[in-house]
Amino acid sequence: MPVLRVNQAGVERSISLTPGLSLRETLHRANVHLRSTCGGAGVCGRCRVLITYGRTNAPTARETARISPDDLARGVRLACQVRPEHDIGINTQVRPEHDIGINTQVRPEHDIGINTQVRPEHDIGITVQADVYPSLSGPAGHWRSLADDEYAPVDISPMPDAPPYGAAVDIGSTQIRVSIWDMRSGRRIAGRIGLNPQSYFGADILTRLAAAAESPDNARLIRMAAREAVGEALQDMAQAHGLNLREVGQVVIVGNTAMLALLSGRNHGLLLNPDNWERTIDCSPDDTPALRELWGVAESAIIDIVQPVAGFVGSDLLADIIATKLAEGPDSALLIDFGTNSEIALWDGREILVASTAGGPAFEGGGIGCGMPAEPGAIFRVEQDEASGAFHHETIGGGEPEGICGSGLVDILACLIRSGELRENGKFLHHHAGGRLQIVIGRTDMVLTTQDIDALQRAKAAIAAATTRLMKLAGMHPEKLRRVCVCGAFGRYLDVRNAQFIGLLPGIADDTRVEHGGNSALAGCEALLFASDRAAVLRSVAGKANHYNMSTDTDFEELFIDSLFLRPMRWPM
Amino acid sequence: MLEDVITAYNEAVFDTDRERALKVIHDAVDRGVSPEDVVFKVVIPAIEQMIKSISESFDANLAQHFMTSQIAAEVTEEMLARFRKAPEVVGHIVIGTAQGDLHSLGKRIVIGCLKSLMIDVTDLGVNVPPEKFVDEAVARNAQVIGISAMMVHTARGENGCIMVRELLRKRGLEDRIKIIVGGAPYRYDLELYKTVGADASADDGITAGRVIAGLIKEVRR
Ligand code: B12
Ligand code: FES
Repeated sequence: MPVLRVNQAGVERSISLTPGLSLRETLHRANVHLRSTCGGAGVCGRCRVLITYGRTNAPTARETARISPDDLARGVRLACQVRPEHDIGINTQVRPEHDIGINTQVRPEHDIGINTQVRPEHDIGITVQADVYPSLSGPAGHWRSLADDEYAPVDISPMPDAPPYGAAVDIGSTQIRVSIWDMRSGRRIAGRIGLNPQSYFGADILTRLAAAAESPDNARLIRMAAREAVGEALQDMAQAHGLNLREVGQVVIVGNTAMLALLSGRNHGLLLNPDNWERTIDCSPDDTPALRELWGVAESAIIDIVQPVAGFVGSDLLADIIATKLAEGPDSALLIDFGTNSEIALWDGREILVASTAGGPAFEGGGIGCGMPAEPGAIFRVEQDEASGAFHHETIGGGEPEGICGSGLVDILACLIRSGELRENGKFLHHHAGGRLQIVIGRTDMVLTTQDIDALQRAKAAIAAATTRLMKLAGMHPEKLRRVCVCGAFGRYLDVRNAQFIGLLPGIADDTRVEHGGNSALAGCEALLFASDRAAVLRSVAGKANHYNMSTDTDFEELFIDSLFLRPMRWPM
Repeated sequence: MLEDVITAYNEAVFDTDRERALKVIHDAVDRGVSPEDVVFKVVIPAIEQMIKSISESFDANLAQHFMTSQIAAEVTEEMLARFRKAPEVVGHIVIGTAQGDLHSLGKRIVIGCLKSLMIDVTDLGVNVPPEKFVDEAVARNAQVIGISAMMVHTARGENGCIMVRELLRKRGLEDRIKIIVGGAPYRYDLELYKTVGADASADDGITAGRVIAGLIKEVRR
């Protein structure tokens, strides 16, 4: 059988080739997961690898459209387009070594150099070494422990009569979070976070739903990817803490509608039809015994997939609302759970207005050349010294930066607009120069292009428009808001002033409380795990919630256009 | 004087400043520039200028596209009412979003551009079934059907362009009616329009105007 030799960050491995499979599929099966947003259709250009030796099929039209002739000549290919039949060697790191760190345009006195010069060989704008998901690149170590400060506060009372352990699961489109609890003492034993392996089938929920609709086989693969991921996280914690998973008596799961439907394997096809987008989709699994067996939990374990609200608004939003106690007092409150499909809840004292708005994955770093999720290695904060113009940055974990996450991108946009370098309409002042910002930090060299900024503008506009629309529907002025809760990994690091400056968050009164919810969907799920009457808690929240469908809302469109501009939200709109 | 109007208008449009653009036009009309000159010598060349700058640098963003098209449509509509005789229309297109797709913005931008290029447009709205595209095109004697789709499954799906093509073929209308598609999935995958049986696609509303004018000519020939 022909052999594929993979060099991944200097480590060599051999994998036997199954003729007919693409390089991307082969690598995936061997647990080398390349980045992708298109699910292997050859159009996102993110699965680049460097062929070091061996013969393969000639570059396809998709590849010639996306890879420069120079790079093609060098052996750069799209892994999803290569179908090797003979021995072949590849390197997952596409940039040549000497490209790193050598830069004639570094301005030493500035941390970040602004350079609008087009540099052809850097056209790709992908961060060095960031082509492979670091946390998914080996069979071990998919899962990272959640740090103490990553948990959102949660109120629980111990359940002395419950089975020993319980698990809470939040399935996000990008990341999965799982925690395990000692039910009797009410203590969290451990928590894990890892990438949702369904990303292999596409970054956004629709690409995944469409892939699942293609064939029952695909649907099964997608279902199993998430199920196995949860199982691995449980295993990982059980091993680390010497737990017997058979003593897990309850697993409570929250997520957006698409994730829950794909997990249960039921009704996901319905979500492709807009007629169903105001209905509640039944996401309860009909094969609970199989789930118990796969996860190795008690044979009598209760596996509770908390049902979504309506349309694409899932139970993760309910969990957010529960964790933040959003609707428990008279104080009006706005909650935004940022994601590819952001979810928004507005409590006006009587009603919770909820909506979902698909701005795309830009704030999670998706589709942005230098972007990455808010994970170790991400630049999460950027500040500019007004006097010297110098930039300062902070990286999650403190190490060498690998990319920039959403909050860092928001900071950069705000800095550039303040300094006049970027205009409100998203154009660089010097538009004639090709419009790209080169960011040089230490040895890392990144570019932010006008296309990247356009994607951020759209994502921002979708969130801002839905927020404004709900505020208008409730007849509420932003100054009247008493609380603003920003949830999701992105919300955790967000600089609120900068977010307001570019119009991502509404301008609020000075004494309004801004709460960074972080992983609040997991916290809400944990609260549900300990609720003595889960159904009653859910009913009381869901009973107050009304879903507003932005797809059929005619005002949304005007608001979206107005919100494309990078400026504070206007009021009244 | 027309030179100054053109420069001032172009700058306002490039800056996505609607108010300023409209003011430039109104001042010009007040100073005696004819509505015909406003449309043919200011607005249309500005759109063409935008095409050029886009094709050179891939650099105009959504806010700009939108503003260009809306300002152009607004000015054209206002000026047309004041034309001494109705201008000759280039042709007719029916346009809507594919079945299952409610993303209406792309279509709106395209419509704005087409209007100012003297192409008659019938807006079929969103979530349009394939039969309706064909029936309306026939009823209105349109040369082109425009289908907008922002999501992968509506762009590729059976009930979008693929079915419209099938219906045209079945009814023997393929010589009389051309199909153009547009939307994010087609910009992403430049070959996709062929896969789903369209005659053309365009990356933005401004280019769309030019391509559609070409398709109309092809049919009329
Ligand atoms: C705004 C928006 C919405 C708004 C739509 C409001 C409205 N009235 O249109 C709302 C919030 C309602 C919405 C809802 C949904 N959305 Co949405 N949405 C977007 C967003 C942010 C922008 C899309 C848009 O309007 N672009 C503006 C157009 C004008 O841009 P453009 O493509 O550059 O357009 C040019 C060309 O394409 C061309 N063109 C366009 N049409 C045509 C037609 C012809 C004939 C021609 C020649 C040219 C042409 O000219 C245009 C102008 O220059 C994108 C994400 C993003 N960052 O782009 C997601 C996005 C399109 N949405 C998405 C999804 C999943 C949804 C929902 C299913 C989610 C949900 N939670 O309900 C629903 C579905 C609604 C439906 N049935 O259609 C996904 C699609 C994923 C996929 N792979 O298919 C995206 C990509 C976001 C994401 N990454 O997840 N969305
Ligand atoms: S190009 Fe997207 S996965 Fe290969």
